[in-house]
Amino acid sequence: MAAETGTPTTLTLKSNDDELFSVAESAAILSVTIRNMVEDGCAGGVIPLDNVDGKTLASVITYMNGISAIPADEEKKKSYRDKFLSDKDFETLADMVLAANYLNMSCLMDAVSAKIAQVMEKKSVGWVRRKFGIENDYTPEEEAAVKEEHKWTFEGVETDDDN
Amino acid sequence: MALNYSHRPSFPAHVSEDNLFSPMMNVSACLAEGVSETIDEGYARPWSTSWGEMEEWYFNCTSDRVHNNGSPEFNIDDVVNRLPIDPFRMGMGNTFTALTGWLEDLRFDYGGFTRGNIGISVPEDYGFSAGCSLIWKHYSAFQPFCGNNRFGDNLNVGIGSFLRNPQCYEKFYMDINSFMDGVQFRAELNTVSNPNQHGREGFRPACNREGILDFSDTSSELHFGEKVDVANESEAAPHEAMFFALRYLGVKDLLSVERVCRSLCSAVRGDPLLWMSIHIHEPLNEKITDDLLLQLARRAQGKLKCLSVMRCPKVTNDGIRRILETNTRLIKVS
Repeated sequence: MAAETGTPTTLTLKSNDDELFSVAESAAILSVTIRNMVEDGCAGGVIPLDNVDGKTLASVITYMNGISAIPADEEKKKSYRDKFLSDKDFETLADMVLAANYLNMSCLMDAVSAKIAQVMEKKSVGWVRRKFGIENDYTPEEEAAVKEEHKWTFEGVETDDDN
Repeated sequence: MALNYSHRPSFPAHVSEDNLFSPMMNVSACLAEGVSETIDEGYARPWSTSWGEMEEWYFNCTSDRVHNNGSPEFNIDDVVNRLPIDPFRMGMGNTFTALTGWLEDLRFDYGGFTRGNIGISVPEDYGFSAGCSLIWKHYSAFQPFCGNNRFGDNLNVGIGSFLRNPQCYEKFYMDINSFMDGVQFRAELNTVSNPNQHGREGFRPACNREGILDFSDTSSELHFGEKVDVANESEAAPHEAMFFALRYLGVKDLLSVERVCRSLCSAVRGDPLLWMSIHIHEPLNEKITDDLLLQLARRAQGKLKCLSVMRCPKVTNDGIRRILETNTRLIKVS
């Protein structure tokens, strides 16, 4: 397609803090948002990505390049994704899932969402509040009511809060 | 008198020119009654393909509709009778009354394919079949628009602002669904109220342009406002990313997460997609009973697709049967 339409094969992406990144079109079109722009012929200049900061965009581009270099082998792609996400903290993961949503990259979104879910698994309510900095905005009555519902699921169940 | 159409295809692959108006006739006939019950009935029935049958059905609707269900030919087990009242959630009872007069007019003007009095001229080649498919297959009709992105700029405007509101991935599709209900009818109504604006272009431009713009303007307020506000209100609110992770949590963790704060609670309880698959594992399998399982299944709001209750000694066949009654889409039970 690039040869036919004369579209450059390298795209320039701009983060919301004005950092510029060059990325091969073949890797960038993993993002459906970018792919649509390319197909519409409006990806010639700099593509501004207003919802993604430079640090997150750098990670996403690393992922794009890494995953697009792997031929159609789902096993290898999965192990690449696992390795890629293994050393990321929650803040980075959270920024990445929002960026992946904005860029419409379902494979990255699924992987990161599952990774975040893995952190939340088997944890107590208090642990989740502390870890993710969430304020308990229930009134005491509401909290009692919500605890009463499905109380059976918590009776005699250990949580995994130490990890 | 009453007809059983259940063996006929819902949407015939080929509709001859003579029959182009059949679906519209049907609805128009029902609408003429002005009774929402009749509309629902007519809608749930597959469209007929021939004029003869249409006329008979029309006669049924207008003159003797009570007999439709009373007739022995309408078996109680007929699959038609088990279809949901309003399968596409179009809110037909309200929306269609506004269109009644227009549809009737179209029916009478069928011979010429024109609507002289309001200035719309429908080209013969795609005229009414396009109109029908836009109205009736509103969701599937929109899919190719998204897929091949034929509308370039407009679509990008819509999707762009959409994606600026960081929300669940499934929500995106859900909201296209619910949004489309509104847009299609808004677009059609625009055609009715501002006919001269669109002239010969008929249905499509009305839907494409205004529909997409409406999409970008309203969807963020209507469907996304609440969560975004919650996220911006306080630093101590859960990160938006956590809402994406919910669909990867099991039953036990979902029930735990809803205790954390209000916004997570409403996200967990309000999203039937999270409950479409219910797998009961240890340690819940020993504790869960029929009533508790039914309580969980209710959260799927009838959308439960997959239920796994292996090694659950307190769950009986009767309990499963009760869940099956309200979840007609359940396809896998183990």
